[in-house]
Amino acid sequence: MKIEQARWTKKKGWEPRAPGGLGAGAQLVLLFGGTRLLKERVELAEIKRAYPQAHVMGCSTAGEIYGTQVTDDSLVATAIHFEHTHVRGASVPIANGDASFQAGEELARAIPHHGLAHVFVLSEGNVVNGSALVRGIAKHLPDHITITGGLSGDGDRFQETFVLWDGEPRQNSIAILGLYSARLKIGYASLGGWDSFGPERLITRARGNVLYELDGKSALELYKQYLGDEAKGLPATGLLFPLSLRTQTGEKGVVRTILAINEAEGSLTFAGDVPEGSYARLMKANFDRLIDGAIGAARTSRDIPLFGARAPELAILISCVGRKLILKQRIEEEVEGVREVMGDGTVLAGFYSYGEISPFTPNAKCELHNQTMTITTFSEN
Amino acid sequence: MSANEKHSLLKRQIKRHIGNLDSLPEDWEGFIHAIDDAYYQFDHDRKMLERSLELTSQELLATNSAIRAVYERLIESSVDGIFAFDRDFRFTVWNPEMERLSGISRLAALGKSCRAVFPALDASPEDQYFADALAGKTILAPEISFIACESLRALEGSFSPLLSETQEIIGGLAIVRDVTARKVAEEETRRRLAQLEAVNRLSTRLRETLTVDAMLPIIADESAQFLNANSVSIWLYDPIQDELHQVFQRGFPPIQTGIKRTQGISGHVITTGEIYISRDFKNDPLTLDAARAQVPEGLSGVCVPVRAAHQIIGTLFLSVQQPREISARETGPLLILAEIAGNIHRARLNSQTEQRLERLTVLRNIDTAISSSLDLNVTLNVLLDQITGALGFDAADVLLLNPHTHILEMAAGRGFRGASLAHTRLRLGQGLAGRAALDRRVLHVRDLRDRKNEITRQALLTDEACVTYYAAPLFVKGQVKGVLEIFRRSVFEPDIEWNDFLETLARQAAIAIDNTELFNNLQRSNLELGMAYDTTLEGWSKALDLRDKETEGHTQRVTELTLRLARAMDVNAHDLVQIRRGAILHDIGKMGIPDSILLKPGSLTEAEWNIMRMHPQYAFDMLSPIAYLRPALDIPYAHHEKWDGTGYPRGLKGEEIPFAARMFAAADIWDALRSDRPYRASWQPDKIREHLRALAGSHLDARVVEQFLKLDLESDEMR
Repeated sequence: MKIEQARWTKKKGWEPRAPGGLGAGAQLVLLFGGTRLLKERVELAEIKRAYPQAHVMGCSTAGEIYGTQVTDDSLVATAIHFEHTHVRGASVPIANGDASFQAGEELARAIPHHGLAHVFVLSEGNVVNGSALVRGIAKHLPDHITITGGLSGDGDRFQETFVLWDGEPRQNSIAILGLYSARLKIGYASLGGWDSFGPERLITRARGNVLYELDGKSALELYKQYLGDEAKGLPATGLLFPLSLRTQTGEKGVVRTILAINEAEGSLTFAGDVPEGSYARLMKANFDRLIDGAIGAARTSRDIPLFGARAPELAILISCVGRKLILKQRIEEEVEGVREVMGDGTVLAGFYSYGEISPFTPNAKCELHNQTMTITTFSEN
Repeated sequence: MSANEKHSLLKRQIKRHIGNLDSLPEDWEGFIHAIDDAYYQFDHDRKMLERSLELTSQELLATNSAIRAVYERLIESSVDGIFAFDRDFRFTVWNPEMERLSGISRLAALGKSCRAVFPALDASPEDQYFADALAGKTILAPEISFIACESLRALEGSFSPLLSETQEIIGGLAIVRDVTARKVAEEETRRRLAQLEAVNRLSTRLRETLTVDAMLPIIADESAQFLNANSVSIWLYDPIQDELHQVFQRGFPPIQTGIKRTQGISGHVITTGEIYISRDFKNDPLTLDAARAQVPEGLSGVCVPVRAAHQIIGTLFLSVQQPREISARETGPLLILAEIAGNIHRARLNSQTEQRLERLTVLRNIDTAISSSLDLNVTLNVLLDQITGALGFDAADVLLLNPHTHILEMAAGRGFRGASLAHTRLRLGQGLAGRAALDRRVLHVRDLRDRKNEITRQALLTDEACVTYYAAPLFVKGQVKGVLEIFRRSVFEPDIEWNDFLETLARQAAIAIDNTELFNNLQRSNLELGMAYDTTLEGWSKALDLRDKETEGHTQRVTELTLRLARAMDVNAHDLVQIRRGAILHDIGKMGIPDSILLKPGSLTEAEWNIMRMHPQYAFDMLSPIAYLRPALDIPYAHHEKWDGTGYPRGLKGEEIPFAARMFAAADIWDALRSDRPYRASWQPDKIREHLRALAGSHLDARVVEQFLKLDLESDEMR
């Protein structure tokens, strides 16, 4: 595997150099960037020219990861040449959140399953029900195939997100990437580092990923009460208090963040299901644990026996916008933590998202997460 | 973060460590800005945390209060005793119901070890429940004995582990329930069930008995069994002697003498109508002194009134060995048993009364049939209907004795499946029926299958499958009229009144037959007399015809013609008889006309005509004294009257002329003109019709003429 990474900012242009070193050898370019840059297709033609044989997959973000740096309003292109792996992909439109499961099914059917080693998904980030999307994809894939990925972002604005699979970046779109190889080793993990606090509340009224009432009272009012002055910053400031869910079946620790609010209905839309009858607790950040969480995820994704002593060649970090809003100036500490675990030999790429897709740990069921650092690592041998 | 104002801490630090803010090097600005930003962010984060902490504290406090309220309500006001214990078996919860159940206060229990509070626990198998709960098991304890509560209290409960938030077992929880009321209710239900069984058994057994004598031991047995009594005796009241008599005893000494209904324990029970419990019969103050000597030592027991409807008809004594005493609660069902016995006895009397009433009704129905009909068939059918219907027999028949041939023949039958018995013919003395008729007594065969050889009609057994058979001879005034046979296809058990009833039935049937015979004889005499009269009339008429040759056959023809017309004009059968007689006798008055006038060849003088015109009057004078012929006089008396009043003898007009005479007049003219006379030839029918039409309204009744002309007159002549 050969990897080449470059970042573009308005101020500095491409650094360390313009893309194109791998040239026609690159099969895949991952492109993460600010919403406006993607919307205006800034440098897109340049990148395609630089890697004429590559599929370009990417999305708008709430922060781009370039090595250990996190920037806004930049473009980060990571070009990959696989030696023992080939890739296929597709994208489908999604009209609204209710169509999420169906869109997932369509995506899974759009790529061949033979020889498939892993699936990576980038989704629209504002309306999609990530839980339903994951269920839809998983339904039509062989059981052993893992799924990772994330929901695209729009800074802290929550207005429009773009997803790119070849062609043009599009709103209301979901892209899937299939990696086909017998020699590709994949690791993944997802960790949060948030603490639940306060009383446990019963979800008394909800539909899909829309929450109306907790303990028979307006959920939106509860959030406003806790946020105080920050309430005017909703839905972004809702990320300060994610929800920790404990389902009736005993499943625990699923974290949900707010994607949108509806003042008229008094409802909150979350990135994943909030089933009625589940118990929810508010969560708050703990700086040290956020960073520890990222480090923990890095360890888990790295320390799989298949890699042996070698560090992975590529790590895709998808971390939640909520973490970035909390950590602010210290956001890079979590990326640095990952770097320390991975070592210098691993290329770090990724973005701050509106939702993360991954099993918590190897062998667990793939789920939609919020507020986590989710890491997928790749190596060829 | 304020865009203009730097964080106050930063400002102070810069001032202290660097100096004037304005003198900072320009390239420090980004650095200072980042620090300022961090300070503000820290403040903001801390405020958010503090705010969250405060809100959460409030919420948790509210939740805690709410939970505590529910908890206290649940625990403190629970109707169950609730206690909890920690891993060292020390009580941590002890609710008020536990205080009530155990008599141990909360203060005395909390913090103490289970064994200290319940010393009995050591010896109890229930000790294990505590350990089991701490081992994570949930136990349902059907009985809890270690709580030394008031006597007779039944407790049950459950033990379960108490878990911490992390699912660790931190103690045990027990819920103890006072189930005394339920146990009592269960016991009561069991007792009632036993009563119901006893009642059911008693009534079943009593229904199978026929007499009071047979009932007594059953009542005694069941009552004794119910109370588990050693001895039992029954006394019944005899209203004639106004005394109670011992009618049954087992275990008690037999006592032959009666006692007055106000004396002794029985007297007391009959007077009060209530059960009397005696702790010691021998020394009971109510025991009659006369009987005291015979009462054995050491018996306690009870005396129960035996009722039938609202009357007490006797008493039932039950005794048990001392020191056992019968409690009032045990005796409740005895009253019921005794009442059932009394009522069944009464019901049997009732059903006998009903049966009698039914039989009387049958007799009355047959009686009504006999008196309202003289048709033997009708009467016999009613008789057989009653036997097969109201009396519930399967089949019945009446064989009548032919007095000439002395053969019994089937006259009527009911309920037979086939027709073979309809041809029954038995000589007197032949077969079962023949024997009953000959011996003049009721013959009963309980099961025909046992007497196959004596049965001449095998169809009784084969086609009809009859089992029980009765043959009752029907005789009246010493004469056998026939036999009534009654059949059942199953065994019939008659009561003692049945034979009497059957004989009554047979006597009634015999009377019916006799009545009918008498009536038939009378009717025959009447008929013969009537026929003799009519023959006489015809004789008279013929005699007249012979005298008046001109009208040879005329009477017969005109009579037929008048009857035809009368029928066409809807005259009833009774009047037709009178019209016939009248028509036959229409010219009978001519008997009084001298031959010189009647047979005169030439025309009559006015004087002679006057005599001739007298013949209707002569007819009236001759016949009116004969009551039998009086209704037939209309034609002889008025057949020469005319519609316009110009006729004779009375000159009647229109409808004053009797209808029969008006009809006859038309028929008479037709027949006269159709006949040849010495002075003229017969007329053609059309000519006569025209003539009749001309006479309508003058001589003849137009309505009669119209109807007469409708008759098919010519074809009739052809015949």
